[in-house]
Amino acid sequence: MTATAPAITFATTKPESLWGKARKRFFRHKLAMFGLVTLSLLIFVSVAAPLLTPYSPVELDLRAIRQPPSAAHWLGTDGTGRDVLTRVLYAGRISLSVGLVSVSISMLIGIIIGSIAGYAGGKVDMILMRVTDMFMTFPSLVIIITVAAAMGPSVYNAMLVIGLLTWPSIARLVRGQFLTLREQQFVRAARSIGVSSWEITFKHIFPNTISSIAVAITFGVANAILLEASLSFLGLGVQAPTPSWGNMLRDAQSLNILEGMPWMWLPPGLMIALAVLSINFIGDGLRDALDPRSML
Amino acid sequence: MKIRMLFLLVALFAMLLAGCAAPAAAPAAPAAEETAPAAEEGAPAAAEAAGPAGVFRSPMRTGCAVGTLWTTCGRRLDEAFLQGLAQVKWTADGVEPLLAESWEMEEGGKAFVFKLREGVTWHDGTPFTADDVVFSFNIFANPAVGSTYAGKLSDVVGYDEFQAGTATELAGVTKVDDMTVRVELKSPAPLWVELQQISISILPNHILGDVAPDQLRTHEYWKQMVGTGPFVMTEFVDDQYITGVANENYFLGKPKLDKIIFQIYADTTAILNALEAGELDATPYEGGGIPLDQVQRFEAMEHLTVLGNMDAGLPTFIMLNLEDPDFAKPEVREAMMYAIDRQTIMETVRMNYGKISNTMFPAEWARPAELNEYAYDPAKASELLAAAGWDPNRKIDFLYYYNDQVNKDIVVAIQAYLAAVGINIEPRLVDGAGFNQAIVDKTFQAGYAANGQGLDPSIGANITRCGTQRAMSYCNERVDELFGLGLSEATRDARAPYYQEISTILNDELPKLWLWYEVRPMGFNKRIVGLGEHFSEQPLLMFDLPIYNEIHTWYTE
Amino acid sequence: MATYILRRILISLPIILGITVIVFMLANMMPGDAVLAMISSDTPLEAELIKLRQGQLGLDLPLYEQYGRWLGNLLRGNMGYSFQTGEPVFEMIMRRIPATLELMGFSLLISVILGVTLGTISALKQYSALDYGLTLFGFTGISIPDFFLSLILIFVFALKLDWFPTSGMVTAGEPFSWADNLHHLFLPALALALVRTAVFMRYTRASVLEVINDDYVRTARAKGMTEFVVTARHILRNALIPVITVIGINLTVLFAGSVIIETIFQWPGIGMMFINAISLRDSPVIMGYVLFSAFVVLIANLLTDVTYSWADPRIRYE
Repeated sequence: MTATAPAITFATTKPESLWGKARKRFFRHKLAMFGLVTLSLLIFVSVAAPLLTPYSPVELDLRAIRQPPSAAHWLGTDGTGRDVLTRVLYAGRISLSVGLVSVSISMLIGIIIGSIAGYAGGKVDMILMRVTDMFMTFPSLVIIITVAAAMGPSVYNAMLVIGLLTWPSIARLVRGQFLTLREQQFVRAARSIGVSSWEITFKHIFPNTISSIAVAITFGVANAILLEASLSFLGLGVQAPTPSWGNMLRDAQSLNILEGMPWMWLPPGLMIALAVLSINFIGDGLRDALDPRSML
Repeated sequence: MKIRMLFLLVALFAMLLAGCAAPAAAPAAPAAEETAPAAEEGAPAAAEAAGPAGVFRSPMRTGCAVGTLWTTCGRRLDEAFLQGLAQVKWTADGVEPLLAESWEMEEGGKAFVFKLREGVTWHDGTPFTADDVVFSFNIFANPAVGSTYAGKLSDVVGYDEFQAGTATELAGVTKVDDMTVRVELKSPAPLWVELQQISISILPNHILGDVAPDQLRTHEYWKQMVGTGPFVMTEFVDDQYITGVANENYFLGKPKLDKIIFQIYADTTAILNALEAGELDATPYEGGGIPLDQVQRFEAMEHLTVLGNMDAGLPTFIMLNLEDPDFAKPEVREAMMYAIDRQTIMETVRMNYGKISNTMFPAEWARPAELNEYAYDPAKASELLAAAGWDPNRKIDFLYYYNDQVNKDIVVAIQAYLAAVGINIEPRLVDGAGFNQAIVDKTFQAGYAANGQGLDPSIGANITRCGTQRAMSYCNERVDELFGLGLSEATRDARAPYYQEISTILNDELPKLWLWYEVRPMGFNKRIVGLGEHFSEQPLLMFDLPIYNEIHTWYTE
Repeated sequence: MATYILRRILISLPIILGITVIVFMLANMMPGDAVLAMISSDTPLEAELIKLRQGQLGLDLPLYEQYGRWLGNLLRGNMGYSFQTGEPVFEMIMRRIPATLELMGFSLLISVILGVTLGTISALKQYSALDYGLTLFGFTGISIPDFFLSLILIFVFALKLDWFPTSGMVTAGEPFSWADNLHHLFLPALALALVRTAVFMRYTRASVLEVINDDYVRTARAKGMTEFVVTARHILRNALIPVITVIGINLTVLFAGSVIIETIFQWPGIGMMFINAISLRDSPVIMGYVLFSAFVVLIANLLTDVTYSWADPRIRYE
């Protein structure tokens, strides 16, 4: 009997990098993939809106108000005869861009302040955290209403206000990460052999915080979209006639429409839910992929 | 794994379908709309129609309960707890003598002598006397108190001195004896009792007489008002409710209802929900009634009497700041009138609720038969604008405060019509304070507003008289003269020609762009017998006044 | 640790002061004031009368003087009087805070119990259909704006099914009963809690999963303890630590969220008081609310940081 020993092959391919592994894990995450696909679809239809519908989002037709979905208007018309489908698509541009821009603002501020506080520690940490606390304790509604009143409610002010109100949680998160990582072995080791603070921050700590920052970014965008919806819902964000998912949802406050004319509010509501949902899925996938401890 | 993905997608679609399935029935059966909701609400309808026996639950808005002297919407409370010498009747054709049994007019309206009703006591048992009347008139006029209604007494002799501080009381109001009060006016005003006096509620001298005027606002009296009205205030829970029980000693007879509860709400949606669910018995009308797009829905409810076309006596218009060089040009104002298709808006967005207006007065007798209709004509509008040298790049800050869906849609429609001829307005929804502030500090450019004039056309002077804020720099002395003449006569026939002339001038000069006369649909729970009936008889709404509506005769079945 | 806490509290004081200054300026930047807010737009008011009333309330003084007055009163223990009702602000807050606490407490209870339970089940049955279903529910919960959720809840449960009242805390005019109160509490608490439930659920699931394969758990299982005991005793105790720290952050969010919920459901707490004060431009009440919420947030943050350091001994505060 010949016992054929299994052929031993040596790996001839390069060992996978950490990023490669993460990317693979991400693409295997079902929900994240679903989220990515959906979000891309949403972005595509928002950007391509003019090509997809013949109507303008501000085109009135008073003789065709509150029409249910039909061949001419796939999602029906609203209170002044404007095509709902068109408005939903154009609204996507506003809501998605508000999400992106405001998160960029809050990320920038939050990361800078959080990392300085977390790394420096001591007095600097204390002072910066007190400033963060101060921003967190602002009653957001007063700020929002006042800014809206003083500068005029608009998309840009909405972006600014949301950005300025949401950085504290990012800062705290980044700071927390820095605090934990600062005490980790590899950082102490680096410091003990005299590596400069800059290098430690950028080469060692940052890459480890990127995972939580990336995750935070995605959730931040989701949150910003929800905030924009609330702002527009209150009448302080995007003003008529420009559509945004939030101000289209304002219609649902009328019981008449809530009950009898779902085509006016379900589409924007669903779009918000879909957009936020997919972004959350992506964030979840990112978290699972980038977290070295999660071997699930 | 694939099954699970499918599961997720199915779940998402299920949400979508669930949302579409239920209301899919509604648009498919417009004819059956009347019966369908009734069938749905079959069982609950019985529950809704029931409610506590002998209790009338009336709505109020937040910020209205502060006290008779300072709020406008707070006058609803007065209908139950406080009273005046004579209050305007719900039929809008005169006043009902209450605390004054009768009065005599001297010298064609230069003075009035009120004979007070005997045997009336305050809720705490103290007898009502002329001292209370004199005290009340002085309190309303006292500059240190700062009442919103002080101006109602501006015709009284001594008012100006009182305001200026050179007098400590109203010289024109004198106590003749314990049951008689005399009021002297600066010049004859035959309608003074019917138009000005009705805003003054009588307050108890024995409780408030010694309170310093500037302390009055924060006095605890307002939490437990003692009055002479059909109900006695028993509880005041801030921002929640105010309750009152029947006044056994009410001089017109003990009310048939045992209790009245004023439930406080912050916005219309909460009120409508409560009305629908049977938690509330009426709609308020200050601040809006049932939104136009929901009237049909409420009309279908078994337990409610709905008055869909209740005339609000409220001309709605576009306000313009006439100091603005563009708006000062009559051609520009005319152009804006021609540019807006009011007829179409009325037929579509407003679903034919209300009437198009071409001048200010809602009362028909105050309008002439012929007025310029300003029928929709965008070509003519463009012509006029070109002639006036209008700059199409100009952006106009356009304010509005009505935040129900129909009015928002109207503003959108107006924006579209104006944009079509090159007038670009940027609508901005503000609250009452914001709107008033813009007017006060003159940053106001244009806006969508209304003005309650149901009681009498003379109220219209408030927004057209030279020098008043709301006139926005409009000044036509002939108009002011005519308003004065309108009050010098006592009968409608004698007064009509003056107001008709004013109508023509206002139609011509367009200090405001007249849009339509509003309706305020109201709903009342049928279980309160008398409530719906009275409002059905009421020809139009009169704001900011306590109205005599025989509330003591209402009852629950 | 005690000195740390003390120092934090001391440093908080100038922070709170700074907040009040900024909020005061912002609140006064809003167009209109308390007098103008009270005039119905349908009934115009004489200009002189407006000025008079403004003078009575001190609104004609320069801003720094108005602020100075307010601060001076505050240091003497007086939070000022409402411009609208004249009632002392402190009393107003004390009177209305129980309603908000009730709402927040109940919501927190619902969301923690539901969230932890569902999260644990989800983790224990990882990758099952139930897990996916709950995960989807969790995601949906955090994707829907809460004002929208409230509207749907009112529509379905209060109007269509008539199971719950549409608004308010108690049935007006009736004597107070706990049953009536809870009946009114259910929908608003649910609306406020659903989003938090989803958040807690995800945190619990994640931390249970982290712990579930740890050595000491395996040891417990090896020792022969039943699955339930293993779960309850070992897994939960360790998994809950990060969840507890998250509760601190969520307190502030709950507090903020209650403002909208209170307005939609007419729940007479301080959130609604604040919204009303804004539209009525009632400065003293706004400042009182700001002060109060500042305290709440600072204490919540302090608690979170302290719990964080207690949970993770590597983090030390000097």
